[in-house]
Amino acid sequence: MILSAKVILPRLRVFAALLVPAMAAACSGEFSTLDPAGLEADRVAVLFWVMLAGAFAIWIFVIVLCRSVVVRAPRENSERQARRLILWGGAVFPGVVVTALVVFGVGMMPELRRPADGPTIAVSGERFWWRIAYDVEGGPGVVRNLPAGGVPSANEIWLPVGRRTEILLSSPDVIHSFWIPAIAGKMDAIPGRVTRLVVEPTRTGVFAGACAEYCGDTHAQMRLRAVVVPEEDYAAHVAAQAEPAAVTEGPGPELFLRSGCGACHTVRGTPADGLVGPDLTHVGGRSTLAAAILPMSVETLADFIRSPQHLKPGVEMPGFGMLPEREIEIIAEWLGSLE
Amino acid sequence: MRINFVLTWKKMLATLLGAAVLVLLVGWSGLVSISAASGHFAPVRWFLGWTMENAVRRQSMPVDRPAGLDLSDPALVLRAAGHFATGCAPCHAAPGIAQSPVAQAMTPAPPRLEGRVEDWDDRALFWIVRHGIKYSGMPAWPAQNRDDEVWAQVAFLRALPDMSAETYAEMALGGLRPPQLPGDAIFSDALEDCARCHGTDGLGRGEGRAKEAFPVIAGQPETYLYEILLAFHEGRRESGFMEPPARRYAPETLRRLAAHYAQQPAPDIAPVPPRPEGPLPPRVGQDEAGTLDGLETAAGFEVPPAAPGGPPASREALLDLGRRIAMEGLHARKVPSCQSCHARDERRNPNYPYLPGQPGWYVEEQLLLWREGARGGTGWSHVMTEIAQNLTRQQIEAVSLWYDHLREQ
Repeated sequence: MILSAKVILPRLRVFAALLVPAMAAACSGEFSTLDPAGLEADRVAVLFWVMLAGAFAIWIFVIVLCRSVVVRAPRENSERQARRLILWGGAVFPGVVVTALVVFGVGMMPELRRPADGPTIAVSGERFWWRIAYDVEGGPGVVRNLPAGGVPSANEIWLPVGRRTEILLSSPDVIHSFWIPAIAGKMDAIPGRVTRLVVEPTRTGVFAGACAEYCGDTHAQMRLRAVVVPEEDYAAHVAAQAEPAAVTEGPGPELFLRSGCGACHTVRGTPADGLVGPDLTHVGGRSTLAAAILPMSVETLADFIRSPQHLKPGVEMPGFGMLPEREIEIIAEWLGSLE
Repeated sequence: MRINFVLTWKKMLATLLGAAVLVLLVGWSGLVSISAASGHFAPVRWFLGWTMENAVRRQSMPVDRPAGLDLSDPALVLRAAGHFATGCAPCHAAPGIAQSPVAQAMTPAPPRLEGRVEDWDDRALFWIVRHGIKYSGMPAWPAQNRDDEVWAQVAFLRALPDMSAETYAEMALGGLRPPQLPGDAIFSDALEDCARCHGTDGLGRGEGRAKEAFPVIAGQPETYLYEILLAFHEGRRESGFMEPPARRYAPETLRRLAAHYAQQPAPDIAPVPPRPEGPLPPRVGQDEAGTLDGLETAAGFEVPPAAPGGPPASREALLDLGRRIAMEGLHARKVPSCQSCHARDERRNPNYPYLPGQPGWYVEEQLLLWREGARGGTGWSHVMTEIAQNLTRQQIEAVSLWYDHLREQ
């Protein structure tokens, strides 16, 4: 088949017809940086629209210029005129535009660089999930390792609206990058270093985040959820997370311990005190499972215990499909009840 | 007379085809001598032997002899003795045991080994035991991933020339006769088979330095023992020593063997302290200047995992690191504590074997096999894969040393 304009153009039109709605869909929704819910994302969006409008105006101008050169009757330009065009169009105009952008952009920075006035949250990016500790002691001394303590949780980060919350980031394994597009820009989590990101959510809601630095097999499924709530709800949530598990007796916790799950997972209130995997003390209260890729339910919990590799290829947890089916169900039911 | 011959491509092709047809005709004729009764024609015998010797010497050159391997270690010699009796002696005979005329009637006849091991260096012996020799009846090692077992067999072969008949009988055939247990002859035979290495008490035979020749199977959970015997039986766990006996007996017999050894009293070791309750103190913190503490001790092992040899460490530092791995785990390296699954605790899942009381070399060898992805096992064995792969060589050494030191107390 010969790729003539006749063949390509209709296809391009179909492609564009499909692409435009797809791209427009990205303008809103929980993952969108153009539907901002945080101060930094808002400024990024403003900058984006201003630059888009400016770029569009310049594009129109260049097209008109090209057309005038090609279509208008050829007429000899004087060397003087040509030099003037180069000076104004090639040096003065870009210089003014770039300077204006720098002034505009730098002018935004003081507002974004203000110190935190809210809680400090430690977030550790680990293959392939997020370890979270609320209300840790931050401070300037924290430079190489995340501070110990805090209220542990995983994969779902609650933030108070209208407060500037400091997020301390690090990693025990490889470089990850913490990104909630609707709230703020990216920040890398680097082993042996603590990086800082101050976020200021401006409206309540649930927003999606992801790891933005390739970290291994299942990097694409290393997601995260940010729940932005009023300040008193944040405090209540953290206080609830600090409580021990709701159910610590019965066949669920017994089977959990018997099968060795406690070697990697902590459920406060039981002897399970492993620190390798996520804290499961309130796992049933989280809205998602497996780093925000699956809805939380007893069925998905059971599926994940049975064969995590199928739901999340490359995950580091071994499958426990060799446990009797009934035992998996009992453990899943118990975990689901831990709100 | 002159022969005029012009070589053409056509003629060459016809010659090749003719040769192939001739070979097939010879095979089809049924007249080729394959009788073992007549032996080899002397020049052929010489040629085959010469070829074999050259091949072994040349191909064994790249064999990697493990650092620190001591072929005179009595534990290593004893470990392979039982296997020699069932795997090698039927053809090669043994001290105090005459060679069977059945074996002598083979072509080539397998030699008695006492006078022959001197002819080969360690690498060549390793190569022969591991690879076997085609067309001679010498089999390869049944588990190609278990070089540790092959080296033990080489150690036994090295000890063979000076071995008295009494020593051989004691080491390979078992001084301890199992007590007459109620049950059929198959079970008694099977138990005797196990006992030649593991003893009837499951603590392993051998005294003095050979005390640690075998892993401890006494008092292990019955479920684990049965499942792991079944894994050997079905070839899901590789071992040249354990696969042959496990294959010999039916699963019902294996179940009774597991029950027998599960009921034996566990080794007498100092009680292992329970794991500390509650949240652990952070081990790698930092002072106000941002300096990490713990760097000067063996805890530093978890900081530069990429260091080729790791920091040098004393025995005490290694034991401390081993204790931490066993009791607390190294969560930053995604290593859970060993004891949270492998402590001697009736409340644990009976598919997890108990580790306290096992000799260090066994813990180390199994972890290394897991790390290489060569340790099969029961339906639960994959749980260890990720953990072993997250351990550095030094950490494996440390935790093995810690389990080993429990036996000394």
